[in-house]
Amino acid sequence: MGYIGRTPTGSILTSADIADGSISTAKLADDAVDNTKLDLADTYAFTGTVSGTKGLINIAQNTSNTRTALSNSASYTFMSFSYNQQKANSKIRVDVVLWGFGEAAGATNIKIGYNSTFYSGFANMVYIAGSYIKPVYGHIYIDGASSTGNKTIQIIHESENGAAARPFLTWNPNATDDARLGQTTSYVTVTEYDL
Amino acid sequence: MIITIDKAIQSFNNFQGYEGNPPTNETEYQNLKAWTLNYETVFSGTAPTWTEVLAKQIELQSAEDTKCNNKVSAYRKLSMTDDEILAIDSRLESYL
Repeated sequence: MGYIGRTPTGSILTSADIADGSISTAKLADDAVDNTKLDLADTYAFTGTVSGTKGLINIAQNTSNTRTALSNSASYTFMSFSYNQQKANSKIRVDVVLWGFGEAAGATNIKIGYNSTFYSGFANMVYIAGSYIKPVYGHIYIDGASSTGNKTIQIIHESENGAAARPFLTWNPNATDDARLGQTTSYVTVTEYDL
Repeated sequence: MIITIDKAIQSFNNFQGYEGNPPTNETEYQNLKAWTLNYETVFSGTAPTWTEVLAKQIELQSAEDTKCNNKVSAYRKLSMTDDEILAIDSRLESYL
């Protein structure tokens, strides 16, 4: 008996009838693959840019472990380096820890610079009487630049009134300053968030 | 209290900064590396000679010794014992 139309299948189609790798992207409806179809416990190694997510974008660190004898001066730069901002208008946190040694000024001013904007009063020295180890520490949490790419981060000692000063006699002290010390390392950690 | 060679170097008004460990002889002193992030040279203008640095260290040490001895002398006039003086300032031990 004749019929009109396509030849019917002889039996119900099963997955075995579909060749591996034969279903194209175009054959899938938009939004057809939801999170129930993904193995959320699997490991995904993305190599391209992932957008639309919130939270941590990037973290980077710059260190210095060169012992440096400091002069009494109104201003100098401890660290200056570039951070490659990943996303425009992201949130940026800059954590600063500098290690020093020796009795010097009782107070000074430390500025953290990000992309030519300077923040005073967020980091400063901890004065400790006597020739011992002492830190400068603090952090800023700011709006990032409106563009991506390299931004200069600077850690600067600068007396507010222009008076000669120094937070300590030696930056990044080591065993030549006190035999109990190993080589100290100062560091600046930059954390970028999308919030 | 010990006056280090760094303190002698840092006491010169034209000192700017150097990177590395303190010099232990004239050759090391002459080869000090400037803190190039801020300065091109260790000293602005004419650097003091190694002999002048050593002389400055002796001068500063003498002044420091005088100051510490004066402190001990003052404490003694108050009839303090060595233990009492050290309780006030343990750094005076070598001056008792």
